[in-house]
Amino acid sequence: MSTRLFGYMGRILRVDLGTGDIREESLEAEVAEKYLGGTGLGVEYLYREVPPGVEWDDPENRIIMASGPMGGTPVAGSGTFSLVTKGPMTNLGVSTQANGFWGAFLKFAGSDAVVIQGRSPCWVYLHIGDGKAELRDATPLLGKDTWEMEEAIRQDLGATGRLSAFGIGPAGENRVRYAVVAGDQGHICSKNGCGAVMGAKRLKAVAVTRGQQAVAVHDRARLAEKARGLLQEAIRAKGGRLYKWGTGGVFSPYALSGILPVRNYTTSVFPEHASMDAEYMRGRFEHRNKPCWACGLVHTKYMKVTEGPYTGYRGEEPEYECMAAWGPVIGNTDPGAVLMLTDVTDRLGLDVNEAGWIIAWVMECYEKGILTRKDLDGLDMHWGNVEAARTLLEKISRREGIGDLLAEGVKRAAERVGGEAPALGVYVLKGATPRGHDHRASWTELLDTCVSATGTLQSAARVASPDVFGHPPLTNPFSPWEVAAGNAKMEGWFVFIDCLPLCRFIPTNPSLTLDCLDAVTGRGLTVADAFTVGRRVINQLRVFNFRHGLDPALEAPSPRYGSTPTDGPAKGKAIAPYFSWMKSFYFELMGWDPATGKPLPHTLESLGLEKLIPDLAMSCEASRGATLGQRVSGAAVGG
Amino acid sequence: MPLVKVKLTRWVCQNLNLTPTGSGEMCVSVPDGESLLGMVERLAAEGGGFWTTVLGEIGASILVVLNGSLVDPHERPQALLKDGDEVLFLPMFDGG
Repeated sequence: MSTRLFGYMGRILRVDLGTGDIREESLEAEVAEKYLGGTGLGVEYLYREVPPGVEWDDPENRIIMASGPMGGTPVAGSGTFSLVTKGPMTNLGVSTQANGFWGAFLKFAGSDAVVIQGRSPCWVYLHIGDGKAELRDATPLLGKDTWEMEEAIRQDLGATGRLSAFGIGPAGENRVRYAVVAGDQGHICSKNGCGAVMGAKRLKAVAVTRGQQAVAVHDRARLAEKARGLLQEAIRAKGGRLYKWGTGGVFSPYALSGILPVRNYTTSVFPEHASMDAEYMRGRFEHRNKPCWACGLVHTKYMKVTEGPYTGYRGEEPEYECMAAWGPVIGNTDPGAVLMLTDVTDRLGLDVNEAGWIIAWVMECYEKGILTRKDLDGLDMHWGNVEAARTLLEKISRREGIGDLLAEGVKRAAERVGGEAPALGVYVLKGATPRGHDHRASWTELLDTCVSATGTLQSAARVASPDVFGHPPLTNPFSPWEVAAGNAKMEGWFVFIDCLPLCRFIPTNPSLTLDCLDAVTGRGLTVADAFTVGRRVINQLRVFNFRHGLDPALEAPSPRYGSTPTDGPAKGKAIAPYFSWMKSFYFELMGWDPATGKPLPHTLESLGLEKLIPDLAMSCEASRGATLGQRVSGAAVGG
Repeated sequence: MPLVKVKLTRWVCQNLNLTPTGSGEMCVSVPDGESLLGMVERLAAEGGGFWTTVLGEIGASILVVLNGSLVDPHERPQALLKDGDEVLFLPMFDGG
């Protein structure tokens, strides 16, 4: 890029772990224009450089960690970065975001993104400083948890200033399929086993020292004004719920509306919710702020347990999904134990969702006699046994004993156990588990989880408040038509946000969000432009996934995940009879073939993705004979 | 007349920027044969702004739970209330 664009540093750092070569490349202006940054930039590089046949643990797989035009600006939540790779849960592409500081510090160190390839002959970590980068020996860091890792890197570097390090714990080192990349004390890229990819490359962490380089901004005064307004809107949104209570503010309302997942979906009733929700925890446990870059929303806290068996335990405040996983999902009612297990999970470097679902699946199998104490290395896995859960998490992270099987995730472990076991698992047939909700009472998210190309919330039709875009709000969360249409309408916005990238809790006001982007870049994107960027990235990742063997028949819930609640507020609400129709209708509205889910040529053309049309046609031929290692016995729900 | 317990949770009030009335829980006398939607319409007619806002949002951002079960929008006009029923209004929450 000959002329530096506003909002960009203009440089991509490429690191070949196999050769140890590190070099700078120019950011292509066309890439910045079409994909902005973050997830979009990552998907473009993944698509270009990871051809079909490269598996998740192949040295030729890539890890792209990208900031974007908003990174490092005064806009709240602009320390966020996107990590894009091909992950082991689905053996397909993924984009996953973490908040904190890393994305901002990368910009201040002079780069927009890091592209990592190859496999190191020995364990290393990457340190990026002001205008320089180096690979350093990570042998002394092996076995350290994700919090210890940060401190050890700081000591190794003799760092006295600001440092942000994201890396893997024991789980990633041992290639647990749902290992995460974690940093800044509890911020996590959690999806599709990106930590296992890092482990396969023998890369312990990527640390960035805050540099002195400034992000060039088109209109600094306007940006300051609009950024203030955007933050204030985020603080006030939804009655100030997130500001007051964090993500855990939905815990009790979810319990009362059937969305709280309880005991591996065997029930939807959890009367203890009020004695362990966010209001309870913040009302009793000691806590202090844990801010991210430039953000006054401060939705997370450091916390110390002040009652119960875990009194004195310190860690990060459990976010909603941690509260769900280590509370109702496993039948635990002690909030102190929730904090303890959250801390253990984060430190070991495990995805809390998959980890929670697999412990719950083990507990149900144990209750039903499918797994015995002997099978479980002597552990008594009755519902709510949090100490046994802790021991099992540690065994999983080391792939020790039964932990080796459970390190594969719910779907693969259940298939290996066989018999009734797969029927008890909560997962998408593609390979990964959903977030910590009972989606049988939240059909928008169930459909979104099954068809998402990004591996997690993509449409987020309920989260994104369609009314702010002039769309009618969802009036009936159990209407197949409304849900499918609502999801399709909202596709693009959140992925656009991931291209900036920004924390998803900040851009509650689209107009102000685009004002901020305009003040940074001077590009003047409209809401329609934003949706186009997001849809371009969704379609490109979907084509990538088809080329790598995506089977749309597996974009469906497991029998338990798509079952009908037998009690609680959503009792009798059955998605299974409608699911196939909903998926086809959603495909059609997305401009995809209703039967195969493949993006149609005119859809790709309309998004400026003509170059992908031949690739997709070739993948259709190739996929007919492909074996993915992800085929599943048994029918999909509604399939 | 049948007595119905109505709970307008604080989360609804926060989302709609409403000031909760009293404890947020009230007993409402309903005529025999009154439907759930009919009760809210009557409260709006009698009570002014607060229930008018709730009525306006009941087809959009508010979920209704009757005796522990979600009531679909199309069922609300037909859902007849009886003595001892418990009605809970919740926001259509998201995120987390």
